[in-house]
Amino acid sequence: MKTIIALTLAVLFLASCSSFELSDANKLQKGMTSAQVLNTVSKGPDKTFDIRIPSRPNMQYTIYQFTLKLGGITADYVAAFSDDKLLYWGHPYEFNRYPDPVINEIGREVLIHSKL
Amino acid sequence: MMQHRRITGWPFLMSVLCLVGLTGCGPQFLTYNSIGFLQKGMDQASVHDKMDVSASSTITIFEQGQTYVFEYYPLQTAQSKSTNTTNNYGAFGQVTSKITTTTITDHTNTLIVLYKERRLRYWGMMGDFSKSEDPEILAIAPAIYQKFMQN
Repeated sequence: MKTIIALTLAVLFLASCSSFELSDANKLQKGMTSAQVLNTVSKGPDKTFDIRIPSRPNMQYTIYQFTLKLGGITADYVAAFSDDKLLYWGHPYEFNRYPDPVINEIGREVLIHSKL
Repeated sequence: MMQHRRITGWPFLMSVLCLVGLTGCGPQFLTYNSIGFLQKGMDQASVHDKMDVSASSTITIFEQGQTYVFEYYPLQTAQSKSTNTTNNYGAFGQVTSKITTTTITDHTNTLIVLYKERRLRYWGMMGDFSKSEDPEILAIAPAIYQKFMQN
């Protein structure tokens, strides 16, 4: 019993120490499933939510919102899935400048939804 | 008619100190989160209104038959902390006290904000322009690069 408690505490401690860093972002690949993303990164998203965009109201996009650790500071980092395939990921400002208007719209909806 | 009264002595000194204090506390650079508001097509004045800091310089170029204006902003990309401990020794070589100093370093990069016809067209670090997925940006990136390297 004591061993189980100790192991649980150790796992919780390690989980609290891990963080989502640039090395995690670099491991992401277009087309990954959400499960693959979760298995790849050191720390899961802080928030997960679904959005719809005005130009494609029938489509639903799943958003993972991570906290990217950059030494002593943090920044928001977003991964967007369509049909459980990773479509695009980056800082919100990267979504907004992308040539594809769908990615721009996803960026805007994420900002509205999460009040980033 | 408005009457102007000259502020002198302590009130004047306090006003100056407050102004200096407020200026000193303002942000020195942009952060990734603070530029999330940028949207293609925004006018230059709106961008300036919402930016936490002013552009460090503004450059105009004529490329591909178009006039482009771009601005440089300091962007905080990371922060590191280092701790250094110095021992003070007594007459017999024993450590009498320790002084620990912590240094926080802000790592910054230059954010380039590009306007075409006074409308926001693109933004990012120099490398983002050079490898942009946007053909128009990729075409003018060498001209921006040239100016960037001269700066």
